Amino acid sequence: MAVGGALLMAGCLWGLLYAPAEIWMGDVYRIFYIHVPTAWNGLLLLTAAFVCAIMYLLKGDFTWDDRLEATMEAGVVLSALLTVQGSIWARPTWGVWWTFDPRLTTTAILVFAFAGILALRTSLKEPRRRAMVTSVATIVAAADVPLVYFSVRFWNSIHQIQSSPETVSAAFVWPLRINAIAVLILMAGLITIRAETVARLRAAGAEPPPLDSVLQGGPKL
Amino acid sequence: MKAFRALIVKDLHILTRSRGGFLSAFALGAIIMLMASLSGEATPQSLGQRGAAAFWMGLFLGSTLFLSDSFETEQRDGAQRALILLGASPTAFFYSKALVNFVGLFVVGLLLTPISGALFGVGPSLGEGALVLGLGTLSLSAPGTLFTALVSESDKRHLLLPVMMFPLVVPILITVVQSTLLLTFGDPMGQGRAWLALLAVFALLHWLLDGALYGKAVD
Amino acid sequence: MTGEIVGGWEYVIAVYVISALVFAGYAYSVIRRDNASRAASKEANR
Repeated sequence: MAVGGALLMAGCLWGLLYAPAEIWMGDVYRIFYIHVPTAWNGLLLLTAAFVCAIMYLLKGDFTWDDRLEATMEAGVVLSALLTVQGSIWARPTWGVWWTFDPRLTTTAILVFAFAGILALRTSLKEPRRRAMVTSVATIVAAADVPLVYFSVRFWNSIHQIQSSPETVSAAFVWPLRINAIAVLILMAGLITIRAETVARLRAAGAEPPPLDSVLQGGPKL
Repeated sequence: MKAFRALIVKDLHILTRSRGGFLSAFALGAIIMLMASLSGEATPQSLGQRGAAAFWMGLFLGSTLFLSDSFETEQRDGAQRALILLGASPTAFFYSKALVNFVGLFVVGLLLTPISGALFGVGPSLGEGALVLGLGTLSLSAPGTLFTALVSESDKRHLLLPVMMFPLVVPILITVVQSTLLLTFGDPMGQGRAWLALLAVFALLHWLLDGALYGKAVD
Repeated sequence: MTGEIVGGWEYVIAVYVISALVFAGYAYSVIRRDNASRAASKEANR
């Protein structure tokens, strides 16, 4: 995590102070060095949550449920941050704080969907039921994402094309890569800690066996 | 097949006896349309646009009240678990419930249609309107049934169901409103078919996926 | 007007400050909850 934090600071300083200004957006484009890594990692984490949901349904192993909660929580945080960053960037470039662009709208929907699943999780106490319900809801929400994207895209679109080495000038690529890797390392560290916490809480919340069970010294004869 | 028929008959009985869900959905839908009719200009264009949006928003919000009532009978005394233990397949249980929920929501939509006509004046023809209503409620009933089952044991289910349904409903909402507007005001670019196809894809995906997942959800 | 954006540093600073606060805040929250769960676990095992 410390490595991720240090790399992130280095990447941000490079992007803010040393990278050249962009030809049309001037210095405002520097938001890109934190916005794009946030987007990549946020969507990666929600995809990871989807994979964890499928693995839990296939294996029934609670480790996957612990990872599901950790990746989903981190994914929601990054996606919410992404929406705020995008909104602030939209103001000087598009002249509005919000517009119904497919990518912005899909991200906002994602935040609501997965935040709702996290809220549902907190209200279910029995671990197996909670894990099952979360996994099913995650799969359905994830399957909905392409439908949201295509329906909004069909309706309206002004977001710039996806950033990749082919579409981004060489002068901008390195701080972008450093920040993307930095955010990934930082979130990987946090997710590992979070998954362990969830596992510990689940174990602590497990019901003790009944008083007359063998595990408590056997039935009294 | 026999078990599935029995489940459908059971669900239809429950539907016809539980008027509470219908009334709540209808009342909420009517209130939303009334408020929308008062909140803008009275020109045909403005009324038509507000009407399409208000009708579908009213129906969707009302549907959360309707759907949350649809499992009440089975939740009482663990009747659903008993049915499954007796050999009813969870998948059959889901499809029966989702089909009857579709019928219920379609009826709510039909009940709201004359109110929409009276308040907003403009709208698609009866046949075209019925097609959009049918596809819209079909798209809504499968995920709605699944999510109602998922949240039914939560103490916050009345809050959680609309919150969790909202992301699912967004593509349906966009699609049905656009389809309704095109059918009302004309479709010179021929986009209507594409919107309806998108809605059909959504319905098919959810009817297949949600049916497959339901068994796990009630396990 | 040429279409180029001039200035706008206040938006850049706003985004970086908000992002830093969110990353730091989330990291703090994760570590605090982890410490609380360790303490609770130790207490339960005593």
